[in-house]
Amino acid sequence: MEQQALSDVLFALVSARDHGMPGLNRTALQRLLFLTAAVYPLTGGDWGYGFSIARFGPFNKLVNQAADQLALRGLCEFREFGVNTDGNIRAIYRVTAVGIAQVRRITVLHSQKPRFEWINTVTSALDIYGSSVISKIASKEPSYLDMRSRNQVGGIPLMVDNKSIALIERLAADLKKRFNVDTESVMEKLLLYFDFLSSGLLESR
Amino acid sequence: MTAGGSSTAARDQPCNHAKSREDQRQVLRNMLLPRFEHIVVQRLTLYRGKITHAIQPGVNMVIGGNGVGKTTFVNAILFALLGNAQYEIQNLAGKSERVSVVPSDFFKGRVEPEDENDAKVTLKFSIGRHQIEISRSLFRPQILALKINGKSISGTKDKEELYRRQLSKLMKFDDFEHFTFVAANLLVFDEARHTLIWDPERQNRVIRLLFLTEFHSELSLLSDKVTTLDTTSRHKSETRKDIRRNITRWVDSQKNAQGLSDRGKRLAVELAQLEQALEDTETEISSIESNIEEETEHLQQLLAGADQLEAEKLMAAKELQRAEAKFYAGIYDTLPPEFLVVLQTLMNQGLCQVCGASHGKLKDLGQKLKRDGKCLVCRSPLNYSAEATSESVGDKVAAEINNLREHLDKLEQKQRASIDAQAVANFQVSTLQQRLSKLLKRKKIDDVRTGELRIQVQKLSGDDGSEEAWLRKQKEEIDKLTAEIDDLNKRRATVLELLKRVNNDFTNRLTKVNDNLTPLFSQFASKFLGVQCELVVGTVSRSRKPLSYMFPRFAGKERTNISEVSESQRFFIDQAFRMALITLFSNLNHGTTTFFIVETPEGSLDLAYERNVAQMYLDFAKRGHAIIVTSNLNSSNFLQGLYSHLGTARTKKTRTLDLLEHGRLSDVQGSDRMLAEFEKKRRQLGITSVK
Repeated sequence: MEQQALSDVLFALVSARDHGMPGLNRTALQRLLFLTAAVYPLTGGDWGYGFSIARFGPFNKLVNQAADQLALRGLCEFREFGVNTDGNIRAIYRVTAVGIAQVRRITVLHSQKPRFEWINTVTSALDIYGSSVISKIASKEPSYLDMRSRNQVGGIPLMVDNKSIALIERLAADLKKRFNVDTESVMEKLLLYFDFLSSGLLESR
Repeated sequence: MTAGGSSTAARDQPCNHAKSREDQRQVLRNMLLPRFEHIVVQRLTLYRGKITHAIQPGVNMVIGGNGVGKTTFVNAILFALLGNAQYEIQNLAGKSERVSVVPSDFFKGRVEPEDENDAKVTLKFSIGRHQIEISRSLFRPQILALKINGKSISGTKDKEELYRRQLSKLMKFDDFEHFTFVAANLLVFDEARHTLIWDPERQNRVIRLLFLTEFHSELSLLSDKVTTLDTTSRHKSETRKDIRRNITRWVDSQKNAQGLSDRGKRLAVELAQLEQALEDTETEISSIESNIEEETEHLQQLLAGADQLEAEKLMAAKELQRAEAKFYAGIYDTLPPEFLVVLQTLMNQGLCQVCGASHGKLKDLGQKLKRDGKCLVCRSPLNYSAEATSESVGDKVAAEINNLREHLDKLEQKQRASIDAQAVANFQVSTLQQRLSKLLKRKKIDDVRTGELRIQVQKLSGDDGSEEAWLRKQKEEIDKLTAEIDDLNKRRATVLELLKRVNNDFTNRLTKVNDNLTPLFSQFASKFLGVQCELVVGTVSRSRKPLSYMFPRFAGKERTNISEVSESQRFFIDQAFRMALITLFSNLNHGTTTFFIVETPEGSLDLAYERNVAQMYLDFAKRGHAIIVTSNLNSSNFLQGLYSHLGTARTKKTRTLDLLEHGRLSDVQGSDRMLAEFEKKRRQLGITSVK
């Protein structure tokens, strides 16, 4: 799982670069990968590792450490580097040429290419709202929101009883019923879902 | 166990067979098969004059159009070698029958009346260092002359018997029929196009006769015993049915008899109906028991297959884990480039790149740490020689990972299918068992009621005692038969259990044979198919008896059924299998060589595979065996592929029996245009024609 988290963070950094983002900080990485994992069942696959509820939102320890490990091996670099008052490193991570070359090598693997493409797809969908909105949307993810609203702690259920997927299906069905519009492609479904989350309708409900 | 049980078991145990099998395994048999040298065929209507032809190691071609006598020539060789020898097979109805390799009257209609005494075939061949020359009449079953090692055998009443005995002894077959079976089913791929690889019975027998001889008699004996017990039990069941029918008829006659009261008639009718129902129930019970046995066997095979799948999956997952660890180590476990800069600066300049301090002693510290192979900061062990995996190595590992993952996915698919099949089989068994339990209960009730009715009807019929005695005798006969049938079924179960145990041993040994056979098969079959092929050992149930054999797997799929491959694939995969068996036999028996006859192979070939097949034959031929191929000059690519490797025009000519020169051509074949066509073909192949 550690290797998978390293690869996912590297994929996310390459995707961010491809979409013209200056880089991603650790919180943005956590939230981007959390959203990606939350909607991954749309592909029929299993993300492999989970996220849990933390003070600042959805959190995975491996993802949290991955960016620094990648930087140590020259696969990404620090930008706007600093140390917080609590001692934690504050930085924006940007992929290096070595990192891009390694992604090219990793995506030769049949199991990794679709994963990279999925991260890229979700990043494309989220890019419409701007990188600053990604963090906000992640905090409105229904499974996470549901646990927060009930003051629950622990792992966020994404494989069984995934509320994001249930919401996407409900939204698509509503759209068909009310306006006779089909949402066939995955991208259409994602946009519909992120539109809904960014609108804040879920919280108001 | 009861005394009866142990005596039954003792009666059906083939005495000390396991021990004798072990003993036989110790004996190195060094078996041989014949190697042809020369053949002369004379006075056959089909041919003009005498055919004299040398059969050489390597490719031997027999060419000619339709009806010029290619099959006749092949049959002449086989007839000279085997005469009218027969072997036993099970026909489609499951009954044993004896078949000849060459039908006894095959040549009769091909001999002119004036040639009846002169029509003959003479074959010279060797078995190891022994020379044999045999002449047979083509008109009557008679050996005209027989020479063994140059010495004529004469004055013997039964030359045929002597010939068969001598040949079996030289080749180390227990019986001439065994060799006849091998010759007909392995060494000749004739126009009938029977495949060996998809015929478990024949294949199993060939393997037992050539490679696992120590199992042959034991498996045959046990299998025959099961069949005999089955047949006897069936016959006794039939007899029991007949007796019951007689009783029913008697009851029918009684119910119309004048002396019988209304109540008696009613009881008689009820008895007749009950007798019939009882018979139907027993038939159904027997059928269900047989179905349960088959389903259970099927389930056991599925479970064994599932275990095998699980083991394969574990192995593949382990391999995948190893490959992935290697792949990712080249990306994520390399030494950070900065570390080497820090170390070098420390060792060379005594300058700490972490805090900026500078001191001469730091040089020593750097060198010590380098020597110790430990990290400057945390003292973790480091491997300086571990470099990032090169791109080409990484690509290779990535391809390996992709293949392994694909393989693992396929195994998982198979596992899911196997689980579904197990659920179906389990459901079937459980449904059948429920039905059986109901029927047994019903039978018990019906049995009691039938007994009561018989007594009552008997009383009411007011007979004089003689019919009562007859009825009692019939009843006793039924009880006796029932006991005998039960005993036979128990004995059958005991022998079948033993057969399964021996077959398990056989299967283990067959797996070892397969280890040596698969590479050879792959070598021949891959030449034809262009993809990797292998053999898989499996067990099927035939007449409720286990039978182990090998079947092919290629393009990731097991082909247990002949319908899973195209027509050309089935014939040439089968030929590849036969060539592999002959080659393995040769390897295990000091390189002994023999023959392989293939009749008109190009008939089943499509354009894409013609040259591949030629290559497959050439590969076999270079091992010193004589491969005799008949051809009607149809496929240019196939023939060109073969002839282009046969050397000079002279060699090509000596390796070709051109029946267009010897045979009597039809009007169509003999027309100027066709003769010119044939001539053109021969020229293309590089055979100098003598008209």
